[in-house]
Amino acid sequence: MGQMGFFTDTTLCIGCKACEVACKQWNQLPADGYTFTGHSYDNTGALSATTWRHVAFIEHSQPANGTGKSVNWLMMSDVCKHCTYAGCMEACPTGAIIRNEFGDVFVQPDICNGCGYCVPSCPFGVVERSRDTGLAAKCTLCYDRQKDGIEPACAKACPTDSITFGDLDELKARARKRVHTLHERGETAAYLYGVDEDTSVGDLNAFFLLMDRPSVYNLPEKPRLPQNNLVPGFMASLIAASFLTLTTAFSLWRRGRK
Amino acid sequence: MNKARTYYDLPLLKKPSWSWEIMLYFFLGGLAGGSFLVSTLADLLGSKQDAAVVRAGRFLALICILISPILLIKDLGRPERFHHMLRVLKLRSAMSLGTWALTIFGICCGFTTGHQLAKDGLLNWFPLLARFMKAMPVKIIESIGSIFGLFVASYTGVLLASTAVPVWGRCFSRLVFPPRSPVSRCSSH
Repeated sequence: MGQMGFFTDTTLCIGCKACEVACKQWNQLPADGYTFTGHSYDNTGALSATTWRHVAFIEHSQPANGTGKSVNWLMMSDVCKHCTYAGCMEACPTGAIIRNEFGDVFVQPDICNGCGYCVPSCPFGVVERSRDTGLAAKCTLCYDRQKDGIEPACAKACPTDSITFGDLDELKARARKRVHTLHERGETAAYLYGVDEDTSVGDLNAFFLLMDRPSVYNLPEKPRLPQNNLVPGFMASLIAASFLTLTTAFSLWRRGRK
Repeated sequence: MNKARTYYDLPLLKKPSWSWEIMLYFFLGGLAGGSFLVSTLADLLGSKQDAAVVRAGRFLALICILISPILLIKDLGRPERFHHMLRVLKLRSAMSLGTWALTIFGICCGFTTGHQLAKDGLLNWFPLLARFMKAMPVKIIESIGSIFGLFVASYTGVLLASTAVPVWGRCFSRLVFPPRSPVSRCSSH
């Protein structure tokens, strides 16, 4: 089975939030309340344990290239990135977070015991512990739908095909072609986020075509795999532990001589 | 104009869901590891006058290590599933390593304290158990326990350092945590 994933082309997003709604409906996720953030049309805020698709709205008050309308919109449907080297999956001490046969990073709800270590281990701030169930929850890439051979709910609902689902190799080829087309049309800011980049999380199985810097979309500029700190950390512990043992032994030895 | 460089200044990372139990455990784990190390070294290298240190260290370590799992399990989203931690060992997960180290250290603590109790004559009501506890190779057990105790005392720093939280990932947090044990050392003396 080939690796499956999402390609989210933000240039096609119209901000309808059909993906958010479809995701909530299919996955039977509870509502998050009626909050008014004041941040453009984004009243969702961020991905959470009960929000697995989130449409970001960015208003640029001046056009990027000096022409066009006075407000330049950027919209992006954010989702779990299903990293090649996933921080949450490596951190998970129960083995609840696995990579399934479609290449998705999947939290097994019957194994997870809600330790919460995956939450700070995600460099993208995606996974969260649910207050209702006590379990870590995030996008499953509609594992259940994929098993039946149908595409995830968000991709199905997307009216402009901003979200496309499919075999990763095909998606990447299509995405590279799309960037090329946009560059030819003069949209030189277009680039792919999560593909062909030199980061320790590897390629993202859910990658994006962006029109501005990642931080504008609340994405990390250079995501790092947190587990890269393990070896230096344990080395420091080893040094400290040896120092402790030696000083304690020394003080005992001196006491014994008195 | 490149004003919007962030997304409405919203945090990129999620806030960890851990509460006071974990903070208290970080301290108790360090205290247990440190006091167990001191008692072990006092037993191996010390003179007769160090017997009080050995006893105090063993009891203190056991008390801390009995409280720690209660705190850790209480903080879980699903406390009744705590044993799921023991279904795998993952070398790249500091929490998985810590779980196993805590388990082994706890067993070592239990046996050494049992030995201490037997030596102090507190197990005389259970003659067989007392004989068993006295006959144990306690020096080997406490040496092994010390290694795991030091791990328990220091892995929490690595656990925090190997997250995406930038401040925790900086080198200072790796250095701050292991030296908590000197505090434990003083308190057990």
